[in-house]
Amino acid sequence: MLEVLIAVAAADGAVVAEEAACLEAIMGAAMLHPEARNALRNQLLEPPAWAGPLASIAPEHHVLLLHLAAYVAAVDGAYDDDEVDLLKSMCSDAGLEPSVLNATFQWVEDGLMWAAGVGGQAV
Amino acid sequence: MLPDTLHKLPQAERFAYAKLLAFMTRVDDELTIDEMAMFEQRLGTALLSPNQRKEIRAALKSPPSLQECLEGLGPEAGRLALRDSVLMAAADGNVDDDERAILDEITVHLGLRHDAVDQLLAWTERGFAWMNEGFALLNELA
Repeated sequence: MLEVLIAVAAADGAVVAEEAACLEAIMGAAMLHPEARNALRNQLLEPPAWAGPLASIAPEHHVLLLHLAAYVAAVDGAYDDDEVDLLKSMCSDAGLEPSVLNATFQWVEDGLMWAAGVGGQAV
Repeated sequence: MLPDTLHKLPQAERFAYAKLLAFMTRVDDELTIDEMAMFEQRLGTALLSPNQRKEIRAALKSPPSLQECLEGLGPEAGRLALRDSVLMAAADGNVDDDERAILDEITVHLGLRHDAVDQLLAWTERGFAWMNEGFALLNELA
């Protein structure tokens, strides 16, 4: 799953700090072994294609993957056209309806608005 | 996953932030899997060096004093650390009295508004509701 997310982060040609921090957070939440994290970090330099790793993920996890992928794509502030195209392709390859992607975009937007709801000034 | 300014802070402040979170994990003498996952997630966002991560994980076993944790925090790192301490304390579904007392102590140290922890708890509740919406969406499609 992380390999797909790395491909998403790199889709617009560069992995920015926000995306790297997001990927590290997901690796942390997944409590991956440090060596596995190192191997994935190395892939940031040469991102993998996403289709192969996607095919190895069980279908019941595809929506979760789409959620995380959309989050990673949005975390630097905006969806790049290449990222949106990639998400659409992923959705299609996973056999998901376009409405799932729209619901995912909405969920991500809600989350980003929630996260932004407490700025440094709020407290 | 929280998009925030943590990764933009100086490394020393990110380290201090992570030390405070490590301290928070030990406050109620019980480290649940939910708290650990939240801690690891935030540690990831802090983009620490491998050696610093090792130090932080060692701090999980023998945490430094609260005073020591607070010393290296600047104002922004302090606010982010308080916010994420609230998230971590609430990760197992309950903020107990010991955790609340520490959160209040951090608030006073940082010179924040007296209702800062209550505001952050309300924000955390909204966030957990948002995460649950995500799970509900996954279940609907299963």
